[in-house]
Amino acid sequence: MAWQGKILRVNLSSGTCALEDLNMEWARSYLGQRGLASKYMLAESDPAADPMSPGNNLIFATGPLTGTIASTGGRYSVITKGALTGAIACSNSGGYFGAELKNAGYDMVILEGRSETPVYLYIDDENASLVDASDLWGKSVWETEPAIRAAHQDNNIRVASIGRAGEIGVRYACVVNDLDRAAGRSGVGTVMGSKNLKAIAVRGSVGVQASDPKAFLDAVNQSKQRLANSKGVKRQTEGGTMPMMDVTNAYGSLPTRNNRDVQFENIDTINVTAMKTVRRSDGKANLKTNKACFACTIACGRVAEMDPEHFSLKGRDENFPRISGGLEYESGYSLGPMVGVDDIEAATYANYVCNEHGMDPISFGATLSAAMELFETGAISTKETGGVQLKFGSAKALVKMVELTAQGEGFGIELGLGSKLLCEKYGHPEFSMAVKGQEIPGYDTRAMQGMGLAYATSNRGACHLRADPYGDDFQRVDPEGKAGIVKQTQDDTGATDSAGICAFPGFSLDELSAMLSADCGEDFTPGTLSEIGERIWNIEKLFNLKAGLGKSDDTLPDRMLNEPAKSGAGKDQVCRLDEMLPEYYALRGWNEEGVPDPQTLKRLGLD
Amino acid sequence: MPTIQIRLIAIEAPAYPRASQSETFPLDVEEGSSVSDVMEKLDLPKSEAYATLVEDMSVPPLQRDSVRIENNQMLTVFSPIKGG
Repeated sequence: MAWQGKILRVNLSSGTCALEDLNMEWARSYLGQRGLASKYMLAESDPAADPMSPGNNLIFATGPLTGTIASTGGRYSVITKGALTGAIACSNSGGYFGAELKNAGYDMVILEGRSETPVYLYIDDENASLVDASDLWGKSVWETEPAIRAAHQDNNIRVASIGRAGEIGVRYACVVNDLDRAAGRSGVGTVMGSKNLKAIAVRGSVGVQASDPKAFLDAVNQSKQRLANSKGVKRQTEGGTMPMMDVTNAYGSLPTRNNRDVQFENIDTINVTAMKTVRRSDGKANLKTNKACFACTIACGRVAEMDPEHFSLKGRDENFPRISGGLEYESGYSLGPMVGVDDIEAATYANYVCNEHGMDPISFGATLSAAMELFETGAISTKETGGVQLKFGSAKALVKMVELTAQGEGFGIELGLGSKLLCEKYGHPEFSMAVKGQEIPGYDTRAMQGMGLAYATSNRGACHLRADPYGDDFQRVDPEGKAGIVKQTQDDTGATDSAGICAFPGFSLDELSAMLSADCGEDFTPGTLSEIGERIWNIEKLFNLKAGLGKSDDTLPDRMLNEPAKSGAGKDQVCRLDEMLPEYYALRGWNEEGVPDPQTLKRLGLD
Repeated sequence: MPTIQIRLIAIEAPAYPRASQSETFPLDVEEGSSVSDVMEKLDLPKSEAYATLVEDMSVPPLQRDSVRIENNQMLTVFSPIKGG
């Protein structure tokens, strides 16, 4: 069946690796990845523990469809208490690592404690051991992956690792696999670094088996056929996520200069057209090609080739790759309009450095934009920034600061705190565009009110992937009815995020239930999957309540609640969260303080 | 006859194959044309979902028959895509 039925439990304090059976009752109730690991987190890890302490567990989890032929069936998640947020964290990644871990025979790896010295976990099917990583500590992600493959003389090993950022405690450090795919958000890489765990390297040959292969093949082929005929998928293949740049700019929901503006006047320099425009310097375009993750039939990933003449490359040695993972919408927004930069090569370089050293480009860019506002309003000066003119639009400041942050030097140490702590330190918490300490993705909530509610209520902090209000938000600004849309799509997304596939194909719950039923040998329906998603949402909420978060954390940056947008579809409007939140709590079966009612918990089997 | 500006984002308009992403182009329309009238003139496939703006104002699907477009105004039509 789809689950391997096995967990690898690693105690980093004692240096032990042990195989144990997966709790199958929990697996049927939470699927895998986000849901199942959140259940294990609540059961085994103290929600009140300091995220950087040995008491905070770190889980790498696959889903039932991970490693199968289902389109995009290569996903895995990293679940822990987030270093950036102090809330439950679940960061989801593609690439090839997740499928390899599943093929090694594991549904999850649970990491406890803290190693005294740097180590990496090496998994070769049933054999797992901790290996000294002293010689890898201090190396980038891009150095670590090939070094581990070389050490084991196996080029097929898949590696998920942290870079310098995770080692030095940048609060929004990522776990990066396959060089440029990342479990990017909430500081899951920071937690990994606090455990002195440099990497997990895995080689799997056990395989994955569906419960009913014929029915599974039929269900998978049907969904793949739908994707193959979809114009939306064709657009994703050709443009990745970058077409969103023109959409949000036109709609007036593109965060620009720390959300002081919602449209970027130089959009033509940093959109999908700009990526495809041939440069004069070398006759090539920024966009070199696209690429796919394991089993994916979309291939939305971008591969960029940087301009060899660009100033950012002048200080790098000749081995620095000019070809690597390119800008997606989120990194494009945060390293472009959010900091006012209209230099696509500088944004691409900053994105490279984020991948190289394992940093979330959304949080880095939004933290830099907050620092730029601190600078322009006089709250900080060149005294703090080491002489750098930290002005909106400065590509040189972007390039300098991404390097300093990744290395933990100069003002980069402060930027590594994230925008919340940085802005509090300098007396302007209102400049932090964050929810629960996590910087917002690329959607301003004054034109997209549903997204505002989604950000505010997201259990992991501001997130654009925990709900799907896009279709409605782009049709109307009025908040009426958005609570129901957000609640329902949050539940549905909970199931998708726990199944082992990507959100991008937009599988319906009919498609998903057909694949999962044949894969797992269970009788899943759209209704049961939606209920599983609701259960997941509530268990994450219970974790956060025990961690000390409450209603006051279900809010938005002051700017979005009190400063009307200057232009766009949300012109003269603020986000009317106060109108949506009570209805949302009621729909969830939560009380006025956002605490699940006893009958809600009983209905979901959480009492 | 009024002339309006058209901007198409992340969609294909078979009747206007040269309309590239984000670039605007002028379109002559009948006096009193609604958003729906113009979308029909653009021959956008009816099977697709669209979002529309007249200038900065969002026009939901149910209002497209009643909202008129004036001379020199811009109609933006885009696909309500999901983020990533």
